[in-house]
Amino acid sequence: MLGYVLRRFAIACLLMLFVSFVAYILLFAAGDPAVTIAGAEAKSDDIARVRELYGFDRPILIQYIDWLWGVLGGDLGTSLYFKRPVAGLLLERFAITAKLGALALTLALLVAIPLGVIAGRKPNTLIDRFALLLAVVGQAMPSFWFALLLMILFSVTFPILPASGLTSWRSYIMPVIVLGYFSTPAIMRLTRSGMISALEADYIRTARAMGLPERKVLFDYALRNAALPIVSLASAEFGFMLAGSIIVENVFAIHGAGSLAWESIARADLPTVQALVLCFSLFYVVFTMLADILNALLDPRMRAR
Amino acid sequence: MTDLVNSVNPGSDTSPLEGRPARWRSNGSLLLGLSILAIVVAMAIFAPLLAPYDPYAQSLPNRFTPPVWLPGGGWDHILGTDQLGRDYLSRIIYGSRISLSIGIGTALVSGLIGSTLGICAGYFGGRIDSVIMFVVTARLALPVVLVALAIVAIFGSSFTVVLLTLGGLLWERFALVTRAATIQLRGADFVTAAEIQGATVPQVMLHQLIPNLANAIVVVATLEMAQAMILEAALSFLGLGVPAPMPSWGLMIAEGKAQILFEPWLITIPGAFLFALVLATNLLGDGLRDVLAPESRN
Amino acid sequence: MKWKLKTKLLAGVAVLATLSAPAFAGKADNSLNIAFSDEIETLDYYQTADRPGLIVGRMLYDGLISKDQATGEFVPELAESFEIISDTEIDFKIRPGVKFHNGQILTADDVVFTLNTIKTPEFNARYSIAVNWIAKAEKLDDATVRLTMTAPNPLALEMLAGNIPIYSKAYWDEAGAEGMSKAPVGTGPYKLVAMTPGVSFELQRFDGYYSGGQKADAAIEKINIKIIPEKNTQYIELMNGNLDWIWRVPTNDVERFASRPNLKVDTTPIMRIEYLELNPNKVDSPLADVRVRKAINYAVNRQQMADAFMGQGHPLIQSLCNPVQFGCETDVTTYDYNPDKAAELLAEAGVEAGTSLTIVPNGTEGVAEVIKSSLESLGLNLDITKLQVAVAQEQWYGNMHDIALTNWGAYGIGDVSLSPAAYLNGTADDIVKDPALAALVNEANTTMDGERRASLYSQIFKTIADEAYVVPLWTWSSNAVMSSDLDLSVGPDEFVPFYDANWN
Repeated sequence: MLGYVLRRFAIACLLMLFVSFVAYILLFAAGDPAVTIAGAEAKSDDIARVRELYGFDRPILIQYIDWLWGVLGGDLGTSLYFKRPVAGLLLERFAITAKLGALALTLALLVAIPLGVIAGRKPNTLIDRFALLLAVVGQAMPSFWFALLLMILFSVTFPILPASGLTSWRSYIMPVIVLGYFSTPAIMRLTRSGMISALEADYIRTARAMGLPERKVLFDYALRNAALPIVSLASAEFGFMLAGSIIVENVFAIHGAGSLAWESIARADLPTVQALVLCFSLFYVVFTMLADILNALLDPRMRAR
Repeated sequence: MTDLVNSVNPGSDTSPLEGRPARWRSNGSLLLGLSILAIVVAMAIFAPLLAPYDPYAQSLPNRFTPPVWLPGGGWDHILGTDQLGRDYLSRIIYGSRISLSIGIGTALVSGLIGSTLGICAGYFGGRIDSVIMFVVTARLALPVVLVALAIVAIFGSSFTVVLLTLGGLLWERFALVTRAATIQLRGADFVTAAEIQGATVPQVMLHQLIPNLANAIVVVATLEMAQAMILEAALSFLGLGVPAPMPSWGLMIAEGKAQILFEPWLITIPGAFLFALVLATNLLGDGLRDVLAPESRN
Repeated sequence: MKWKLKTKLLAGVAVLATLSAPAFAGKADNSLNIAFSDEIETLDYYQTADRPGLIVGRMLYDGLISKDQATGEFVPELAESFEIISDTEIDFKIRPGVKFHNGQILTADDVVFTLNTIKTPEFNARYSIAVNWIAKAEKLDDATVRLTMTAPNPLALEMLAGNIPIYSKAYWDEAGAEGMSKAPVGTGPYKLVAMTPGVSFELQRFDGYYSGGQKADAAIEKINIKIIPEKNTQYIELMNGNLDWIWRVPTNDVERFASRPNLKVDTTPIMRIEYLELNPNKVDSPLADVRVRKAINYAVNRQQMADAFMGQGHPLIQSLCNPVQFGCETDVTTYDYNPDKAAELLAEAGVEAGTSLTIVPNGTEGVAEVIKSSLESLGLNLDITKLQVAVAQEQWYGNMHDIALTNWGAYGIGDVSLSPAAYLNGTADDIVKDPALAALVNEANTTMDGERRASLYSQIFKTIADEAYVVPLWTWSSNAVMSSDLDLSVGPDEFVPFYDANWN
C-alpha cells in the first residue's frame, strides 16, 4: 500500500513539473508578455524597458528555472499586474472558488445520484427518459447563457436573488446551480448504469427474495457497488468545474481563482498564471490520487496493476 | 466505465458482437435524437434553397429588427436581423453547417487521437500505459483557455484552428473508455485465440478489438460532439472561436450576449437551436448505447 | 433609410416594462455606488495603465497644477502659482498647509523628491512620456521649486496637470511602491479606506482637503467602487438600484436606458478617435501604391457606419486628430464615399480581383465586418484576424498585416502632440516611415512656439491626408448611465470628476 502511494506521489510531482513547464511555454507562445504588460498605449521604448525589467529577454528555460527555484524555496513571486505577492492573492481567490466548487459538486451529486438511482431502477421507462432529460438540460446550453438567463429570471423579473458579488448566502445560489449543473449528466449516467448492473446481480435477487425492503436494497447494496466509479468521476468533474468557473465568475462578478486565471493569462501576469496552473494541477492530482486510493482500498483487484 | 469490465463474459469464445437483438425501432430516445439530427442535417444540406437571404449580406439601416412575433417585426425578416442588419433566419440555416461540421469534425479528430491512445494503453499496458495515462492527466490539469489562446496566437483564428483546438482538447473520454474496454477485452478468449494463431498486433487491434469497441466509441463520439458545440460557444465568448462573420451558432450566441437584456432574441434563437441539437446528440448517444451495448450502458 | 427607431424603442420598453423602478442606494446616505469593467491594477499612479486606476488616482492624489476642462486653462492645485522662466524652466510656488491623508504636511521637499525620483530608470514609471522630459527639480526656497526640462517640451504643463501626482517623501521612504499600491497616501479630495484588490474599493471624502484648487468642496461623502466585468450584470445592478453610475455603455444600449423614468444618460465627446491605419510597408502589399490607399478611403461608407455604430448624425473626422485638440488641421483632402472612384483607382493601379488583405481589428465591434463587405464589392478579399492585443501589436509592427482598425485616446490631452501623427517620427512605433513626415514631426514635438507648432502640424496632417496613410473615421463619445437624481458629467479628457458630483 505504501509503495503504491509513494509511486503515485512521485508521478504527481512529475506531472506538476511537466504541466507548469508547458504552461510557461504557452504563455510566451500566446504573445510577447512585455507588450501585454506595457499596455496597449505603450510605445516601443516602454516595451523594451518592461522586457528588461522582468527579464523576458533571457532564454525561456532560464526564466523557467529561475521561477522554479523560487517556488521550491517557497516564493511564488509577485504579481506583475497587482504588484502584490502572488501567494496572498491566490489564497484569497482560491478560498472563494474552492467554496463555490465544493458547493457545486455537492449540488451535482445531490441531484444526479437520486436521478440516477430512479432511472436505474426503471430503465427504459418514461421516468428514466425524464430523469435523463433533466440531467442534460443544464449542460445543453453554454454556461454564460444559462447564467444570464438565471440572472434575468431571479434578479430582474423576480428580484429575489442578488445579481453579482458575494454579499450573502443568497449570492451563492445561481453561480452554484450553473457550475454544478455542468457535471450532472455524467454523474447521473454513471449512477444509472452502475445501478442497472448492480441490480442485475445475483445477490440482489437473493436479497429481494428474502424480503428486504426496496430502499435497503437500493442504497445499502446496489448503490454501494455503483459508488466506486462515481468517486473517480466526481474528482474529474471537479477539475472541469474549475475550468467552468472562469465563465461563471465573470458573469456574476465573483472574483475567484477562475476569473483570476483568465485575466492573468490575458494580461501575461506570468507569476500568477504559473502559480494558478500549479494549484489547479495540484488540486486535480490530489483528487485523482485520493479517488484512486479509495478505489484501491475498496477494490483489491485494482492495486495489483 | 468499470461496467464495460463486467459486460464481457470471459468464459465465452465468441465475441459479444454476435447474437444482438435489433432494438432500434423500440427505443424512443434514439428515434427522437435521430429525427432532430436529421432535420438539422437537412437544414445544412439544403441551406442555399431554404435561406431567404445571403447570411453575410449586411444592411446597416436595418439593424436589430425584431422577429415577426414582436412589435416592429415583419415577414420580410421572420427571425429579425442582427447588429449588422443581416437576416437572422438565413444565418441560423447556414449556421447549422458550421455547428454540425464542428461537432462531427471534432468528434472525428478527438476520437482518432483518444481511441488510438486508449487502445495502445490498454493493449500494451505497463510502461506505455503509464506514459499515456500521464499524458491524459497532464492534459486535464492544463488550463484549456491557455492552450486555446496560445494556439490562436500562433495560428490565427480560423475554422480549421478551432476544429483542431477542440479536437485536441476533447479526446480524454475516448482514451479512458477505450483503455478500460481494451484492458477487459485483452483477457478475453477470442483475443487470445487470435494471438495464438499468429495475428500481429495491428491485426488484433483492427479485427478483434476495434469492432468490439466500436459501440463504445460511437457512444462517446456522440457525447463529445455535443460537448464540442457547446465548447465552441464558450471559446467564442472568450474571443477564441471561429472568426466573424461566420454564422456559427456558437458565435451568434456569444455576439448576442451583449444584447441579452434589450434584444434577447439574438441569443435566444441560436441558443434554442444549439440546445435542440445538443439534446438530440445526447439522446442519440444514450439511445445508441442502450441498443448497441445493453450490458454496458455507460 | 428606414430607421425604425421608434419601433425599436417600443420593443425595448416592452422588455423593460416588466422591471420595477427602485430607489437608488447611494442617494439615501450621500454616497456613490459605481462599477468598472476592468480591474484596477494598482493605486500607485505611476504604475497603473488602466483608465479606472488613473481615475481613482486623480481622487487620491493632486498634481502641481490642474486643467480646467471648461476653459482649457491651467489652474492652481498644489502650486498656488507658477511662472515660466525660460523654454526649459518653470518655477512653482507651493501652497502652504496642505495635508496628506495621514496628517503630514506637504512641503517643497516632497515636490522635489517626487519629481527627481519619478524620472529615474529605477523608478520605472509606466509611461516614460510622462516623466522622461524632466531633467531636475530643485528647491529655491521653502516655498518655491524650480523644474528644469531636458529639452523644451510643449506638453510640460499638460503632463504636470494630473499625470504627475506628488507623493509624500516620508511615506515613500517608509512604505515604498508596495505601500503606495496597498495603502495609498496622497493629498487628494478622497482617501482610500478599504479595498480588496481587483474587486472593490471604498473611498471616503478627505475632510482636511484645502480650498483653492478645482477639486475642493466635494459633495459626495463615500464612493463605493465595484469591479463587475460583465456589462449585462452592470445593467441589471443599475436597474435594481444597487449601482448609481456606470459608464462606457455602448451607443445601442443608451437609447434603451434613456427611456427609463429614473435613469438618465450623459453623453460627452471625448478625445479618443477611431481610424484605420494602412500599412504601406508590408511586403508586396498593394497598399504601397497611394492610389490603392485612396481607393480604400473612397470605398468605405464612413457616414453610414457612424450613423449605425455611433448614433444618427455622428460627425466624422477628416484628419488624424480630434478637431478640439490644439493643432488639429481640419482643412485637408477628404475622400467622400465613392465606390466608382475607388474601382477606377484600383483598376489604374492594376490591382486584380481576389487580392487578399488582412485587417487587425481593435475598435468598435462590427466595423471590420462592414469594411470587409465594402471591399468585397470591389473585388478585394479582407481577412479579419482577431488577436489578443499583444499579439496584434507584435504582428502589426512586424509588418504582417495591411490594415489596422484602431483607436487612440491621446491620454485625454487636448494637444495633437500626442496624437497618432506623433507616432510617424521614424521610430519603431512608426508604421509608415516617411522621412519627410518624420522630420516635420520631430521638429514640431520639440518646438515651444505655439504658432510654429500649429503650422508644422498643419503640414503634417495635410501630408497624411494627401498620401492617404489612414482612413479617419470618427471621434468617440463617452456614454454614462446614472440615476436621474445624480449630477455627474465625464470630462472631455475621459476622466470622471467625482469631486464635482452631487445628489439632487
